[in-house]
Amino acid sequence: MNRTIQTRVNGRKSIEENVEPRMLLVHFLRDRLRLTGTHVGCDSTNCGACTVLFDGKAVKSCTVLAVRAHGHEVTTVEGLAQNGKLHPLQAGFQHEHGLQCGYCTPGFIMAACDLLSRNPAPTEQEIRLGLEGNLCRCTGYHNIIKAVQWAAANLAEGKSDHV
Amino acid sequence: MSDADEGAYVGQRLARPEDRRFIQGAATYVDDVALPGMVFAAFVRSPHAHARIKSVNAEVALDHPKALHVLTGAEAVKASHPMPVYSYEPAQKIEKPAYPCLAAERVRFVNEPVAVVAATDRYSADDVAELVEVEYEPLPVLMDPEVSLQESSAKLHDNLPNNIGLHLVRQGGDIKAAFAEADGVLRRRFRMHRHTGSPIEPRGIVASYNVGQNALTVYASTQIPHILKTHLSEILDFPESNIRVIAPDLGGGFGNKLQVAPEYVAVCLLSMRLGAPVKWIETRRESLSAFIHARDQILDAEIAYKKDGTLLGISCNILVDAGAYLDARISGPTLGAGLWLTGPYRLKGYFCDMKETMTNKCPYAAYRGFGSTKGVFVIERSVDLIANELGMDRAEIRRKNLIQPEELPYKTVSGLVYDSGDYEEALDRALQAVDYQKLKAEQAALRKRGKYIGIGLAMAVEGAGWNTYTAAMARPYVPTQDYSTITIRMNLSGRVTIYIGDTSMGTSHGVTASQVAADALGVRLEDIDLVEGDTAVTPYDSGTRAARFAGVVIPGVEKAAKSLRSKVARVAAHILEAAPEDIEIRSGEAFVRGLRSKTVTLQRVAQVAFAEVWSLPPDIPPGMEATESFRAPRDSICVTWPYSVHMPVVEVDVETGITKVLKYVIVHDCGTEINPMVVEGQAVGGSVQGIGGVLFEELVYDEDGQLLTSTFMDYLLPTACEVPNFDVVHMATPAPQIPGGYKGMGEGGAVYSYAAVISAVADAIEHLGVEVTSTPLSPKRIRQMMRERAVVAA
Ligand code: FES
Ligand code: FES
Repeated sequence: MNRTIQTRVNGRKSIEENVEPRMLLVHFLRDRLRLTGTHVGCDSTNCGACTVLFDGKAVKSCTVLAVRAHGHEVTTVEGLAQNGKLHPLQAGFQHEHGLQCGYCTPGFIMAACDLLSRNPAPTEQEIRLGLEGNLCRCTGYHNIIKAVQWAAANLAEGKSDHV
Repeated sequence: MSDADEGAYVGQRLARPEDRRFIQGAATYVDDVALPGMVFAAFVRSPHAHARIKSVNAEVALDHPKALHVLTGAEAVKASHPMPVYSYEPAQKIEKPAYPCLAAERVRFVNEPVAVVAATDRYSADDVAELVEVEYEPLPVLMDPEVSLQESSAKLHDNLPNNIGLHLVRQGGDIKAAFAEADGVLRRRFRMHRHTGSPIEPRGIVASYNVGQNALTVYASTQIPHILKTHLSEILDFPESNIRVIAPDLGGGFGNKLQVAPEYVAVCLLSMRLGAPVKWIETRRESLSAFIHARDQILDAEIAYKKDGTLLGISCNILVDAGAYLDARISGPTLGAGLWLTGPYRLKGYFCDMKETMTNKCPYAAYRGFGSTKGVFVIERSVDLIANELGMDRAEIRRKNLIQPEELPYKTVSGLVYDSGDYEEALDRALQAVDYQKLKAEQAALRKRGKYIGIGLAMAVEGAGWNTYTAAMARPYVPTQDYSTITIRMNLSGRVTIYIGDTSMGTSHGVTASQVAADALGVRLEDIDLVEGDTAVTPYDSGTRAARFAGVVIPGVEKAAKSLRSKVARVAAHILEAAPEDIEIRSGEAFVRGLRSKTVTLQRVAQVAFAEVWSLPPDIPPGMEATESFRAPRDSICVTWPYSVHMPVVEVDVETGITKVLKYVIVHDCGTEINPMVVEGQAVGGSVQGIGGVLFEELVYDEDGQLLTSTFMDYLLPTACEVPNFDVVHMATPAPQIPGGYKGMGEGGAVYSYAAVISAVADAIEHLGVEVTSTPLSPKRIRQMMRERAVVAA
């Protein structure tokens, strides 16, 4: 039976009626809420392109049913910039050329968000391990690691919107 | 960055302005396109590798409450021509095996599409597809490319009596003399396994047929919007003028998305039937099993050499496992492998026989490196093995054979004409950057403790921009020569828009084209926008391919920008009452040279040109736009010749078979660099594809033709944990024939990294009595090699 789902997405209340029980959170975000920054790259939970924050923790939104989000809070890449200021991770990816085609980028940014919230000053190895669930086919990861390091340093200094 | 002087932008490590949309989730990939009334497609695919289709029954499917239409192969074949194929050898004639967009009579690989359905939403489309009943009569399956050549084997296509899709032969120099002179001949069978580009964004299309206008608008994940339009017109028998292809943001392509996808044709047909927009987004399973496969080749090579290490000649028979149909670009990766067999070395003789055989696998085509990956692997591995045989150092044997700067331009025996550079200098810099002598000493010490590290070494000259390709693609529009046509326009506001007919697939066209145009025009970088990929507003172009952006497209941008600059100068001169040749343009202002007080903003200039045309003298045409073509030099198959030396260092655990890449040095030269940060990104990204290709990724079929690795669970891409940090050393020898001196480099790291990683693993374990001549070098394969060695030793 189709349901009505009430969520807070990027700080805003949303009420969506008539959601199929089998609908995945990623399709709910993309097709129903038109938040298309969250991407789909696989059908086996491997690529991480769909990563969002669910009650503040990174989840792969292709593995969560939309109905599970009822009464919960979701943050997508669209919700990161505040008052027109980029989040340091967003600025870091731009500054360090941490993206090429950009398809994996929102997923990496959200996964890194979770990582930095748990570990604000990760070592290179910790960053690599923390992003192991995300695939990038373009960058070879080298600059993604630098982008996260840049963000960690700038978060510590309270800076953002560098570019 | 606001006060830009001429030359201020080119050469700088600038962040990409276009990133703003990607980092905020505001890019538009094809799956982000939503049109009013849009419905969704899903494909019915064959579970068999080879079978006759006995019947297709859509009745039950059409009863589904959300089903809108089912298009079968039999109907599609009536409504469309077969998929195209052509050869990169302009003279080559190809027997086209019929390649329908949907199989009608016979299926020839698992997951080949046999029907396409439309339904009101994504999930229902999948449900409906499952309800289509197809009856098959299985046929014998051909999985081995060598067996496929045997006379007794079943034939996959009626018009290919030997299962040979394409046969090319090339030769150069004097191969007989080269072998006659030899002290030794190295004979080996080399093999590279099947794997592919797997961009993280799979294929996808939104096709929208407008009945009233008889017009077809196609949003497609493609590297070739204009070429796709031309092909759709031919395949659908539909006027090209009424087709518009829009390539939105592209989530990676790597050559795979040069494909004219049969699925795209089927979705267009579906939209034309329904008169509604239809979206299809591929799943990863479909992508790995039915998109494009690559690399898979057997290369039987003989290399003649003298005992002082002088290389004399190479002769090679290449067998390509082309899969079930000939993709349009099939001949490219074959020819590429053959042409790149000569490396950066002076050779006297060359012979290469290239055959593409048909098997019951997914069709094979382009993936970054475009064939060169195999040629470079074979020559570089052979040089190493010859060095081992002669007791020479691998760097020294190369030094002895490298083409020297004073010999350039140099025509190789395979027919490539290298343009400029210093290959030996690049080798020296790499040895230095990796600290070769010290590393060798360390390696020897570690070996005594049972720890095996390997120092990889590979080098090559890469071709960027393909001349013959253009002819093949856009026939009958273009002669055998790569070119670019660029439009650049100043708007009423004084801002500038560049129009390019290809599409950035992560290749940073926005920032690099803007850097060049800003310098040429005298405007600020932030005042430039780029429009790409929309055939309705951009000039005809052969697409994002063959690393041609810097060497072929950018000179077009520069030329068009200069041409626009002279228009701006004429109008500014009129306003300032000066002579056009006295006008200088900088940072968005035009002024009379030496008289900064006589200045006009470009916004004002544009206003006059657009909206106050009555005030212009009659010989100045209205508007502010220029279109120019750049024609690439065509003395060789490729346009420019970047080169690199790659030196990865690996550690191989012979117990587990696991190879860890510890360090990776790249020395490269792509001519004048527009943006070194972008260049490094391409070099590193391509190298990691080589690491993945050699160590992890493999498309494995069982003997019945079922693909065993159809998800990212079993098709293993490298993650952040499997790759090292990279040291990139830049050299910059301008391309002599290209204004600006740029050479492309998007094939980038992939051309060299295969050979380099293979060489590193070999260096780590060959002293144990094994020989590395094939890939993958997965843990399983390395353990197997170690076991086999133990058996031989016993
Ligand atoms: S789409 Fe790949 S992990 Fe969710
Ligand atoms: S930037 Fe293209 S997949 Fe990561």
